[in-house]
Amino acid sequence: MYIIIVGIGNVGFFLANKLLKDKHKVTLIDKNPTVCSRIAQTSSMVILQGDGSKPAVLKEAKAEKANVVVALTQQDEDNLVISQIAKNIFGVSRTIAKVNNPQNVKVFSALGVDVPIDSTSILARIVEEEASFTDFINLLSIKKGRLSIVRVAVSEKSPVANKQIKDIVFPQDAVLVSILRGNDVVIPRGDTRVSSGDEIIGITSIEKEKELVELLVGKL
Amino acid sequence: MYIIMIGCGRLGSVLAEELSGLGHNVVVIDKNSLALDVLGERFNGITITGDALSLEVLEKAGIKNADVVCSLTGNDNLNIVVAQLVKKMFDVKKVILQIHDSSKEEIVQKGVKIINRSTLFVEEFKKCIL
Repeated sequence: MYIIIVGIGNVGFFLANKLLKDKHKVTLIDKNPTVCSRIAQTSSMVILQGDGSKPAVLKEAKAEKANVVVALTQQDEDNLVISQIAKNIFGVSRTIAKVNNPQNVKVFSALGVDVPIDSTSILARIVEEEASFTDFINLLSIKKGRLSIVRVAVSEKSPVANKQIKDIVFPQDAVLVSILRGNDVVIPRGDTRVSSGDEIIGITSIEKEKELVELLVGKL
Repeated sequence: MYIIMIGCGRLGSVLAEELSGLGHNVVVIDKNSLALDVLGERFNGITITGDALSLEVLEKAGIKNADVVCSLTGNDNLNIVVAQLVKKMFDVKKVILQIHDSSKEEIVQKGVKIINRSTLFVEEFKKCIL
């Protein structure tokens, strides 16, 4: 794939490296000449110095051939304009943009950015989860957090302790994947009995996450 | 009319004063509170310090009741984005934006009036020169 990244911060540089390793073609664009020359000296990446929110600059980067344009500048209005130019002038099918101010997420969706990435909220949510209660850990979020894989520690007080799987009513859109018992991985069957000390791995939609946790841990 | 002016620079401030003097309800938004201080006695509207891209700020400015929104900051990208936002999300009747770089006009949706400062000045100068 051909990917254009506008705005070379830490994320942009790291992302470019990763994409190049996976054999994608990448062009980096940044306004700042100092940043551009520093990267040009230390790597063999294709770099274009200029304002990526200008159609002429994106044209120079051959945006019409790009599969994806990623806007990672510090300004939300610039990221929005970059995405719109990519889409409306160059027909780029997928635009990904960083949302600097979490309050602007709605604005990004309204103005046609395919994937707005609100890194502040993502980070805040992870910290909140890690800090709030230890019985429950979100292992992985899929589809921008709509689906999650969770790990729940079962205590003696848990409503499901000493129950058989077949007697536990799971919320819809939530499934049990496996039970970690000591060093063993138990593949759950109907007659498997959950006991305290077990750790349950489950997949759930974000809407049912709270319901699943309440079922396994008890009321929060 | 209920008019929201975004950007209180040389153009925005004078326009706001004039429209306010004519008896219209004018709200001026600027991210810099000092910029709002230039509004003189003729202006009897409301001023708001804040980022016009924020829905919260736009709602505080009464965007739902606005007949006209003028996006007049010195930042082309901000003007383009805010103008499209108020048209799309709040369906404001008349949306006008100022722009310097004509190559960006293409991305602005229909129904938004674009005033290109550079083109305008070029025409005026041409008239004077020729």
